[in-house]
Amino acid sequence: MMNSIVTSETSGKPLLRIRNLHCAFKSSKRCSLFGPRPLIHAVNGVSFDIQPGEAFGVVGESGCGKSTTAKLILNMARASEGSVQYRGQELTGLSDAAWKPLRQKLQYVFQDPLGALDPRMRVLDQVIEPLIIHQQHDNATRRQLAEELLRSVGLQSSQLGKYPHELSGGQRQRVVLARALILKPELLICDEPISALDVSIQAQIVNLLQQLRSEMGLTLLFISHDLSVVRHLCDRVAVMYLGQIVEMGPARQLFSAPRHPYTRALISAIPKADPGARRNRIALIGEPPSPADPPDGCRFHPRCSLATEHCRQQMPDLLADRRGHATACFEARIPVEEVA
Amino acid sequence: MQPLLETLDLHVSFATDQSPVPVVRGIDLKVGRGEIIGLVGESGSGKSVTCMAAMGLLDDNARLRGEIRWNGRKLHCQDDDAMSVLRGNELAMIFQDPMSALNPVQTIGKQLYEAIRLHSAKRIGRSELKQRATGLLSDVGVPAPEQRLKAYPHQLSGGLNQRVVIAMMLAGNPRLLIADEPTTALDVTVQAQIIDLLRSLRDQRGMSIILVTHDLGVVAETCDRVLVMYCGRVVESGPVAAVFQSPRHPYTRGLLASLPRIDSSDDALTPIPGVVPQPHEFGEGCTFAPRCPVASECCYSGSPAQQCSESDHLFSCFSPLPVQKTRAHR
Repeated sequence: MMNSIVTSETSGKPLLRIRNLHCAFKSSKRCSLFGPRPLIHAVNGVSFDIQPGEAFGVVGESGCGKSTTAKLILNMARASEGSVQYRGQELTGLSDAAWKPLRQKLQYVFQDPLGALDPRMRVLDQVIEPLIIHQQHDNATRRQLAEELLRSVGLQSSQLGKYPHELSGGQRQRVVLARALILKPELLICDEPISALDVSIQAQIVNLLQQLRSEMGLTLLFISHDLSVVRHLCDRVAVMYLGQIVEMGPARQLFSAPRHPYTRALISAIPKADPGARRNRIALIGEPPSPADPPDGCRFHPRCSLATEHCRQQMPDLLADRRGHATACFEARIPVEEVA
Repeated sequence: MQPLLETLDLHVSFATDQSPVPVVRGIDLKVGRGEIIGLVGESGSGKSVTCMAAMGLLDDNARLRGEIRWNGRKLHCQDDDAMSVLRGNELAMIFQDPMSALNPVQTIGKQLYEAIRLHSAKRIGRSELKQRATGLLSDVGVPAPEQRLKAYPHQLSGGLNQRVVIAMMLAGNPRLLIADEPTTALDVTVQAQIIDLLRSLRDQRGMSIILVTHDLGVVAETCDRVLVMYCGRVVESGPVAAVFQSPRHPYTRGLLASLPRIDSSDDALTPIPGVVPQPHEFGEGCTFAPRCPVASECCYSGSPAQQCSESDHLFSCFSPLPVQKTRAHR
């Protein structure tokens, strides 16, 4: 029988261990002028492990809760339930003071590099700043470390004295990466780090992330709506839909043989830069429902072509096979020999 | 057959306090009837400005040179009165963000009625207006159209709002639609729906479409012909199959090689080195030369003339890539 719920079976000591994470907040929009503000369940029972040195991808459409999950890990949003453990240490409910040493180990890179940089500060000083905040090294060493790092992320010496507005989008994202990496973090959380960049520049940053990962032994949590990039960069992938993980597994396996109907539709919807390719697009009806009013049963059932009465009433659990490929679907076709 | 829209050696520059900034530098564009043309290029390549020029929507500090022809007749793009007759009735444009095209404090219905009235010669009664608006919304696949007439834009999702904008555009029944990044702000499953909708407009109404995008995948799935733009020039153009199968310009190949693929993960990505130059950095020679892997001496001194390989496949390069029978850039 296949009933090992994925949360109980990952081996080894994970760097990050997330269990049954929930986040609900009141919407800023009211139902009507004086009506109550609806409760939005942005993250609803998410569990996964990230092993040291792993690149873990989270994909999904807007509103699926992928960014909120990242914010919960970093205590930038408050979890209403669940646990986040970093090397065995519980992170939820920690005070800001207790977080300070941890921030060196867990760093975050956002989508918009300009918003993450101080417009009135030269880029070299911005990369030095984290070292000052965490009181590491003396002035001369700080400067030297920052210069070395900026060069290794691909900036020229002549650009170090510039201000953010004088750099291109790709160069700014390199500065943001350097700023995150100067403290030698163990886990780097990247939230759509390349979405704002041009196509030719995206590949530069993806290659840079890959290079940094192997050079520095970084663990990566990579959040993106771009499935092709995630497939390229990540070892394991979780697919989220309306605040829940619907499928999770090794990237190669998940993308070559997706099991959940949502994952299959998502992959088939990606336009391929190949005019000769056969299109077998699985059309999804409608758009994701609002997280303020999720459907009963399986949250995907209103858009699912395989949905049965069972799916309308009961929410499927995320069940894993022997290789750690987990699916939350009653109708997912799983090869018999794979069943754990 | 005469092309519907044609630009001949179109130049656009913008007057600034310093010297004028050249943004579009000699574009020849032909759009036939019922044809979907893809304009691809990175930000700053001049693709949006080309479209805005054709619509007559450029700011006052824009300087135009060259000619734009509509149905064989010269368009006076900077004559607002002349253009307003054409806009909406003959050519229409939709943008990336549907919310910016809709009025946030008016219902969808009211905005649709306005569009229908504007494009109708005679007065239309209330009930007919409603009937037509409902019809337009269901044409573009908005579910429960009658209820949506009472909704405000903020109550609808991005995908539905983009459909509403397309419905408003259809009220004038234009012959050419310019769609500037119409799916960039949308999720991939919704993007697929909007692209299917655009294709059906062509198939059912014979509408011509210029699709501006940075997404080569969208072009490959939607367009008949593609123009690859770089720094205000078309570096390569031709039938989609030919250009993607055998790109002749190193920039086109570079773009294709820097895309990760969903169906195979193992090839390393080959990015294009460097950054897109700013207009004031455009030199004498080929603008792509500083980033080009096959650039030679001559590329820096003069700009390459347009060459033609088989069937309408044009490119401007001194050392074009050889013709490929199979896909070479993977």
